[in-house]
Amino acid sequence: MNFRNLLAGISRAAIALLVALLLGGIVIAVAQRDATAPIKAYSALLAGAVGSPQAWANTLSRTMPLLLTGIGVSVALAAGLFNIGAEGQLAVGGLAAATVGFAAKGVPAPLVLILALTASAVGGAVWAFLPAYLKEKRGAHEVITAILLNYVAQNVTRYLVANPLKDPTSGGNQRTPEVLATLPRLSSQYDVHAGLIIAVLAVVLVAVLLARSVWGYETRMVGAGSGAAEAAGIPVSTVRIRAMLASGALCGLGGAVLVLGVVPFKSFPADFYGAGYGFDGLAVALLAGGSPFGVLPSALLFGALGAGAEQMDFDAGVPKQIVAVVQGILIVAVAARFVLPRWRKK
Amino acid sequence: MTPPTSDTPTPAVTLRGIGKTFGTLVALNDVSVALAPGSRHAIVGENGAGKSTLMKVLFGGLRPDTGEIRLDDKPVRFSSPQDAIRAGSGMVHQHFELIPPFTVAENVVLGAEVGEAVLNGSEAERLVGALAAESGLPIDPTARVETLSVAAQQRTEILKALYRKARVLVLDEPTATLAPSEAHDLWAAVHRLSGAGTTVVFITHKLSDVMEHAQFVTVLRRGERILTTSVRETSAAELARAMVGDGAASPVADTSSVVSRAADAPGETGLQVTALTVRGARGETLVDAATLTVRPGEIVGLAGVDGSGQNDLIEAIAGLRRAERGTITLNGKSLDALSVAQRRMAGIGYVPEDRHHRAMVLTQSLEENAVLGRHREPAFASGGFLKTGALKAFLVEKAAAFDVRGVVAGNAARSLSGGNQQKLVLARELSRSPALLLASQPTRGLDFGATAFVHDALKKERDRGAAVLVQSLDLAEVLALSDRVAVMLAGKIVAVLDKADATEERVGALMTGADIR
Ligand SMILES: Nc1ncnc2c1ncn2[C@@H]1O[C@H](COP(=O)(O)OP(=O)(O)OP(=O)(O)O)[C@@H](O)[C@H]1O
Ligand SMILES: [Mg+2]
Repeated sequence: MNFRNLLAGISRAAIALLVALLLGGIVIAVAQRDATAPIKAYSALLAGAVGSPQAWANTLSRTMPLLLTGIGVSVALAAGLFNIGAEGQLAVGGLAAATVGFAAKGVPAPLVLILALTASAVGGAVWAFLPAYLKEKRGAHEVITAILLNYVAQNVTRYLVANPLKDPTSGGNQRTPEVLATLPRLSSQYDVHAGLIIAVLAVVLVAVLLARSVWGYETRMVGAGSGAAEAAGIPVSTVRIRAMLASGALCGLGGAVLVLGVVPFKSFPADFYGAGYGFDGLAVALLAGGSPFGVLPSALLFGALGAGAEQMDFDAGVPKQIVAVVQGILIVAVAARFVLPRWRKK
Repeated sequence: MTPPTSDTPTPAVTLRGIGKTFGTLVALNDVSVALAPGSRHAIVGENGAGKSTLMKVLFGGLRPDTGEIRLDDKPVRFSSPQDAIRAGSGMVHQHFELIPPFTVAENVVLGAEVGEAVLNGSEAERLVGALAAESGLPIDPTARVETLSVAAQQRTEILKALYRKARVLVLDEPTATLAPSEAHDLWAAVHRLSGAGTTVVFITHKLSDVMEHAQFVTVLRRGERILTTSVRETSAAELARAMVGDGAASPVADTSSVVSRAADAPGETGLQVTALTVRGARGETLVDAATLTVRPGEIVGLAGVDGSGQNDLIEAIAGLRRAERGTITLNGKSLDALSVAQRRMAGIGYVPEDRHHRAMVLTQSLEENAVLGRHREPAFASGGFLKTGALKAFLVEKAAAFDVRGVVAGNAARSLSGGNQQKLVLARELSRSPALLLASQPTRGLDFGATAFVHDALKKERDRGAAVLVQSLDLAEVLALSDRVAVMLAGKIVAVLDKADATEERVGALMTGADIR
């Protein structure tokens, strides 16, 4: 991607954001029957997102898993696949990390972390393998199977946490036992930890690999022109499955950095599922317009909107779901730019 | 600005001083053309001369940097194809823009119903059917576009423009993908349309089409208009000279020196296809028990009307279609169980028919396309990473050797003109010195200079000792290139003729099944 494309992408996203905020503002004004409500709501949102060190910490904690799910979904997109199973993969990865994290008794702390992170990546990849395999070998659409597997992941993780993996002391608030090691904090005052570094490194690494490595080259060629890739001898099915495995592994890691963090858990709650970070990862990747580096600002924006929404709810009494509306409009605005030109070129 | 002739009425279209640059590349420089109403106007020029770009400006697909467009002498400014169509200018692209799962009628009316009541299906079908009959473009409005032949898809595109009341119709290389009989029908329709007052502009590389079917012709060279004249006042030779500039080349490729080198390499048996049967997705027979030999050092041409199985046979050899029965060997080695990649390793080079879906990935960079299929070789990759510098160097080297124009490393493959894309694909496939070269329609969309160049390149491959299997819908091309000609009809190889026996009449009769003996 050259510089001009990047600028065009950023200005497109900025315009989409403005449109979304504007429309969201109208929704707020109408819902509150108060023309000044949007201003109050948005200033609270801004304050909650970036208004103080604590606000930044909240924003960054939310950004961290979104970076991983966002880049995960982007890898699949590069191969021409829509990984709607991100949420389920994050849940499976998170539970795998939590389980290894509390079960690895007597293991040195750094090793616990490495094992738990690895387990999450493997868990997410396994969960992504099924839709990929069924698509390539049986022709089942990956979106349908992945949605079904999301339900399976939701219910299986809930069952496991409520039964064999339950911390007996957790009472009605069912969760796994606390992990034996957590990722090091980056600040003594604020809840930001090394998971953020892992996430940023993952985005950069994947972006570089996609652009420069043979793996990335084959992935992009298959995604953008499977017929030509096939004629050139690139094993299209294998490449797609590999991309889906990488995508699942990254989404699974998204679960690990949550569970292994100081906030918000240190364990995997029964009703956690993916806490919406998987689905938001889809939005993050779409907003990035398929550009891997674009995931950095895109995830940050979603993290900020999420953190700001809490404050807005608290200060201005505007339900935080309104932000979901803004995010939705944002995606539609971006998707319209993203989908329509492709359609026209058919 | 030079109007075609001084006694024409107000031009239907005037392009004045049109300029367009892409980065540092000047695609069009101060081009002016006027089109008389109801006339047939040809645009000719070498690959990359700017023909498609000029036409995209005319139908609103590209905004020019300078210059103005006038329709019926009124200045217009298009910011989208919709604007242009509203003003009465419609374009049929070099590559179609239809929605495959939709029916012909749906494709034709889609987008045009805005502002009117939305048509229901049967009403649309009736209207489109009537329009088709009236304009002499026979088609079944209820057929789904993905099931149609290329010619029928093209008729659908034209109907789409006519349905929107286009008074100016732009056809970009309309006969490049048509069989001769289909081309004949298309020209009949073009004449009928222009007779009824539609102005038709077409781009072509066939000067015979210009001389027969156009009234006026404009020659572009490297983005500049060289001349606009009435066809009656020019000749193919003059046009050819204008296209290439000083040091004019002959418009006809020199094919007189075809000498078979077959059997020079006794140890090698070349390609042997035995009783090969290939079926399509719906179980239809595409290739029917075909048996064929291509020896090292010979060119075998596959002749046949469109869809007789030529391309399917080539795809089966390349490994893109599974053979139901039969065997394929290359120099004694069986290819049957090999993947596409393994077949390439075994020495197959392949120039596919469908440039945009089989040969290139249009959105990716030129250098990445230049090594597609060779990207794992040590020359281009090490330690799992591509050698970006080596890719670019390879691109630049091949672009120079094959005269690929408009190459800028880092640009997407779609930035090349159609003919130049084809040259790059050829450069890539020949760069591997294949033992067997498969080429489907290798000169489709190429100007005559490039066509001669490609013919020469294929012959050089043959002389180097490669077995070459070429498929073309252009019978003259098959006859000019081939040492032996295999004729296909309905999936069967009905005859294999030596060059001396392969006359146009004989092969033509075999192709259509008229030759029953
Ligand atoms: N989007 C683009 N970006 C960069 N260069 C472009 C772009 N589109 C066209 N060009 C360049 O402009 C020049 C003219 O291209 P154009 O497609 O008009 O050629 P053409 O005369 O139609 O050739 P052909 O006969 O091969 O179809 C070419 O050198 C091409 O590489
Ligand atoms: Mg062109």
